[in-house]
Amino acid sequence: MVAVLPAYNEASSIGALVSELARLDDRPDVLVVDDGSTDDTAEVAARAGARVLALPFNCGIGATVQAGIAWGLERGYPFIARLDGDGQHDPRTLSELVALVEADRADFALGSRYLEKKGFQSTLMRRLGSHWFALLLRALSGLRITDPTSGCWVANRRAAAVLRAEYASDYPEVDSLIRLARSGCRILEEPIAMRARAGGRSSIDAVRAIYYMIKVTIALVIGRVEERAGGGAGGDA
Amino acid sequence: MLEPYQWVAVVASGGATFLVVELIRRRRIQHVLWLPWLFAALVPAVLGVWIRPWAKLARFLGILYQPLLLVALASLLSFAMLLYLSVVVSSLIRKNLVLAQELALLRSRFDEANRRHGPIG
Repeated sequence: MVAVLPAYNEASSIGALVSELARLDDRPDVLVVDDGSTDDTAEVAARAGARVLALPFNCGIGATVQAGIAWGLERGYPFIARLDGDGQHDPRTLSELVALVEADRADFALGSRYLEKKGFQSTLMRRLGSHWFALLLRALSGLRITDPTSGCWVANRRAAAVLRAEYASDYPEVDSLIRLARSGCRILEEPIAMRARAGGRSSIDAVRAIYYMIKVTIALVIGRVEERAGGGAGGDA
Repeated sequence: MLEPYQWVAVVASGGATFLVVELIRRRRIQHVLWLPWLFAALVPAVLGVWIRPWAKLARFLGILYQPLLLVALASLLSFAMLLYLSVVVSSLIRKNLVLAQELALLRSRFDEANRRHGPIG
């Protein structure tokens, strides 16, 4: 398995996260996708033992994760995991997600912060946003997901190929779940514990959280209309 | 005979058309973009010289203050231009992202080959 860590200016946290992944019993290969960082994220990651895929300039989270997926698929990895580069996802919880996919119970195992409500809980605005998307996903596609924006998942090659083919350029989490469901991929959730950021700064403040909600909601509704009219899957959130 | 304000419209339109043609000639503007700009540059002259059809249309539509029709048309044209440019820019952004990903993946393959077989070139 390869663990893909998208990172933008995460020099203060990426090294510790890569080392933590290397200490796991069933340790995965680690790929840090550097999204045009202006600090030494790539160097720190490489020194800690990660493979580094360096985008030539800042492309946004969607293109960054998608590049990591492409890298994993090209090298024949059976499973591709994705964790935040800021260290908020505890790598120890990966094993439970991997178990679901390995046992072929799911094509895509998603970590949920809200199934058991353990660990660090994010801001009220973000929790509201997450619950809103959960409701929307249920209404628009029948998916019962508690934490559509967690960003911690493990995919088999089938699900990874769906994401490789099309992945929204920004705020891609919710849109990608719909694409996976429409492609017939089985999605299961497993509780995970989040941690506070180890360093760096979140890219989503209160204003962006509202923008995120509005933008993704419109994209999902357009995607649904398009689907009913017999078009493609999802909008470019 | 043209009224002074019509001359202003014609001269302004001529200037704008010259500017667009000059940019096309110097290849500073790509072919997907120049046609709408050329059209937009010629519109003030057309509207300024042939006033009667527009005045008739405004009356037909029940617009009491006839110049408002021109304002509405200008707004519509601006909207169409901006929308068209957004479509073109969106397409370029998509292509740019694909190129950036491909470049990163190729560089990674190149580095791996270098590590395995020693430096190339």
